[in-house]
Amino acid sequence: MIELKDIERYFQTGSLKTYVLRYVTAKILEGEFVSIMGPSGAGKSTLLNIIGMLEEPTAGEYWFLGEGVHKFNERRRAEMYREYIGFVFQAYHLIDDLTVYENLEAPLIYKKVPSAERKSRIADLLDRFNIVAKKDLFPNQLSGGQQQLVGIARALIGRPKLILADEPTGNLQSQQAEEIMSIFQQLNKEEGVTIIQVTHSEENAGYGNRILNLKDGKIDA
Amino acid sequence: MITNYFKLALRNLAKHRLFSAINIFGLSLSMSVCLLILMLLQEAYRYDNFHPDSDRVYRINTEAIRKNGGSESYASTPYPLASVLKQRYSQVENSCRFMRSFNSEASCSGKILPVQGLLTEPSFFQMFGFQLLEGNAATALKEPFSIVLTQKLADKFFPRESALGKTMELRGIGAFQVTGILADFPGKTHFEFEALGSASSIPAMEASGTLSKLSDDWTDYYQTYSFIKLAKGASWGQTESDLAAVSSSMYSKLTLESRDADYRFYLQPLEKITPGPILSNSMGRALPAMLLWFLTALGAIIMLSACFNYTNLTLSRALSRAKEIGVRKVIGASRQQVIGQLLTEGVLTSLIALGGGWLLMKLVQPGFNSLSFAAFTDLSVKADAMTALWFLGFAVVIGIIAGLLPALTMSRVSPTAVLRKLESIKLFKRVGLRKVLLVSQFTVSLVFIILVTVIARQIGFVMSLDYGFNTSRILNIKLQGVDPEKLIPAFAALPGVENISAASHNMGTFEDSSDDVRCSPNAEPEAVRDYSVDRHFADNMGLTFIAGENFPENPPHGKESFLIVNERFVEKYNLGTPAEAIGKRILIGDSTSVILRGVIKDFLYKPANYALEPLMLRNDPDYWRLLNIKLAAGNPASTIAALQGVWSELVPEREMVSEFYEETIEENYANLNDILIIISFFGFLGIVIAAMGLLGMATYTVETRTKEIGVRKVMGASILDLVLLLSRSFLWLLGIAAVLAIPIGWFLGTQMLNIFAHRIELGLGVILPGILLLLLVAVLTIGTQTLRGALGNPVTALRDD
Repeated sequence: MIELKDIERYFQTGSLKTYVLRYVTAKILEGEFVSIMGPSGAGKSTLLNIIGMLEEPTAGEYWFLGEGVHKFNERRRAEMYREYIGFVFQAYHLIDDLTVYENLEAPLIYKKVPSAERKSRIADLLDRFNIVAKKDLFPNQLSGGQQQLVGIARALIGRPKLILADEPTGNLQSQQAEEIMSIFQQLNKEEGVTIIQVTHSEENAGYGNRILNLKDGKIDA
Repeated sequence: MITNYFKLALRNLAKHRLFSAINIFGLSLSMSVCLLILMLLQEAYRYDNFHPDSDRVYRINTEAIRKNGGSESYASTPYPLASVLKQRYSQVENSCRFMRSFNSEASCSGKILPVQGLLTEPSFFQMFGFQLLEGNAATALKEPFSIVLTQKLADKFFPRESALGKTMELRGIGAFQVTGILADFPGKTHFEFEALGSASSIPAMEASGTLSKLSDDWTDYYQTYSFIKLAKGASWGQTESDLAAVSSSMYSKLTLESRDADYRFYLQPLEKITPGPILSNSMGRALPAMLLWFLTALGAIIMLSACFNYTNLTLSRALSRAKEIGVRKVIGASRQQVIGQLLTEGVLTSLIALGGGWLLMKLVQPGFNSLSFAAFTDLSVKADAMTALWFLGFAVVIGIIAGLLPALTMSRVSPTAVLRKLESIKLFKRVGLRKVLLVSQFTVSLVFIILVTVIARQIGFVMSLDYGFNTSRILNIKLQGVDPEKLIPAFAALPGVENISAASHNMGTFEDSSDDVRCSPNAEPEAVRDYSVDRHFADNMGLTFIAGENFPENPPHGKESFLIVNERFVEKYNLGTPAEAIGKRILIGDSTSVILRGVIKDFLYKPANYALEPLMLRNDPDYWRLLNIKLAAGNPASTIAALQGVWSELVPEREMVSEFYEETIEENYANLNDILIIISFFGFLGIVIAAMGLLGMATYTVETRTKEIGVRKVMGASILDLVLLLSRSFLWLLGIAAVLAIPIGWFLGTQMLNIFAHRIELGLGVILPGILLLLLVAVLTIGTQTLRGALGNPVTALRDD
């Protein structure tokens, strides 16, 4: 599904190159649950952003479902977000002006899903995550754990093939974190959604089936 | 999707109340006038759209090329032109002429009423879309002395019976038989008449002398409106060159009017007559295109200014919305969708403002209708479904204009915005653009203020201008064809009347008359303005003789023998000193020879627009049209009542028409007053809108810099330091606006003053007060906000972090 070949990311100041990522080569197959780990500043988030097409590598090739991402324009990237990729952020990033229901609806609207189907899909997810009662609340009326549930629901609503999660439990207490991680595991096992998460926690990584260790911008095999 | 956009937009509006209020109020204000202008335009383009094949119907206009190199365009032509054109050229399918000399008083069934009429040909009913209610269109205008009436006029004379077949006596013209009654006009038209006489009466009228001989006169291009209909596929250009051919063949052997060098005839499409260019002799009352464009331009400026507020305030909030837009992009929004959403916010704001604008327009409308030109144009502004559609469309367009720049800028936010801290987002906030918008708003407001000041001062100046003749306590009474000798003795016997004189027309107004003058038989004739007056006139008007003397007793009709001129006349025609000029023989027109009897001191006998030129006071009772009655000081109302009593005794069939001289002169400047009111109003709107925009910007600046203010305060900055710090950039922008506005205002003010020969000096004293006033408003606006920011408790500002 994802193929990274010699991905590099550096900043050039004068003649000095500061590398964030160097010669990163990796292959992630459909159905995997990969955790990217490593010390702070190792380039974990940058790698995830590159996989999520939010950042572009300075050098190297990135193939997504057999297509060269380096050739994508903004329109094609928006298409990828709509069709294949769901994001889960550490800081949730729900839209403050929208209710829970509307936050879930937004991706479907952009995807031009008809209204009736939108309703049923949202109802399913609300039900599944046990947040039906919260659907008319605004994000600031929810706890962090609840917000992250909505965040995951939003990532899932478009039925993506890939979920990218950047420290999804970083802001949560351990009990909520466990809940979130088991949802990820369940998604991966039962629905075959590919998940890539960045995490500091060995425990979280344990939910996955593979770990990519990054150190100083390189994969530590 | 659009309902979703609307829902979001509404929430956004509700969340940022101050900005929404500023935007909606500003847009409403400017929309109110723009809606009015839209209705005006819509009305203006409803003229003459009911005629068959009107795309092939043209009016022939005359451009008279003057000997002095200038030219003047007339809506009229010589009478024979259209028929010659039709005879000679086959592409002219039809023609129809209207002759103007058909205004009179009709007496019929015991009533005397004024009738405004035109003489026209039977082709009238083929070429134009007017329909007959009674009578036969094929024959109604065929026979001599036939007359077709509008239903309204027919009802006045014959309220309960059919007018068809009745005979009407037109004073000074003859007896006409009613052969048709016109149905109500199918739409608005530039044609203005109550009655149409048959053109076949013209030969008989000319023979009897009730009409001066015009039917084969190529040099009188004042009396006839000529319309032609071109065959299908005929070319406009070809017809104009045919007109040139006719003109050169006809005029080569004729002596033209003394001021004219040549004539050029050209076509004007029927549909383009109203609204159209201003032409001399034009028929009908409609707003000239120029005025419409002037108003449209003012409206557009004000509307744009309100749009700028929206653009500015929205852009200034771009940063705080960057995150939301980033999130939207990450969950799959395309740039177009983001643009769509942002534009919807603009359109929604604009639609809400439309509601406000509509209400405000209802308040403005009576004011508009009270402007003198609105009354003059018979323009009724009303609302229907079509208008409503126009309004909605207008509001949508305005919303898009206002929201476009922010939408384009903000939709460019990259999805990575989600990942960054707010402060580190390098979003092009268009600070430069925002400054430009703010400066242009203030420049426009300042220019308005300068123009308002200039016009107001000029109006004050011309109103208090000393013309040099006496207007106080003078009541002018129109003679309406009554012999002055019959009225004067009776009026003079009244106790409150001090003096009476007779004159052809009012001095100090735009009414005009002139005749060709030669000071020696071989001299080239030159047109000189003249007034025909009696021997009491000079005394009554307080004119001073510097040489010679007044007219002797009034001469018999048609036998004028003396002339009084002003000093300027003596100078211009080199008659020596005033005393030497006395007794010289002067030739007026073709055949009148008079002796110069008196020279009066120069005085302004025309409105302030005119420079002082030579003047002749003539002494021909044939031309007297009004009496100047000097009332005794005291109670004018009782004297006027007494005059009225005498009038209705002597002239029972007519109402007395009178007006004080001072009022007449004030009316000259009604147009100028209109312009003053319009520009003041637009200027006021402009200032309110600009000040509100400034308020929004200042509020935002203070809000985003609360923390900085707190820190500075803790470090010991004084309130004044902080206010200056926060205001500085705004003050700079205001300064730039002032620097730009002064030359622009100066230029436009000069242009405006140039239409006056007698005008105020345009100095800093005129320009500065307005500018200072606006700057004061602006500084207060900024000051309230910056002061609020500076006075805040630093602890609250710093606590959050």
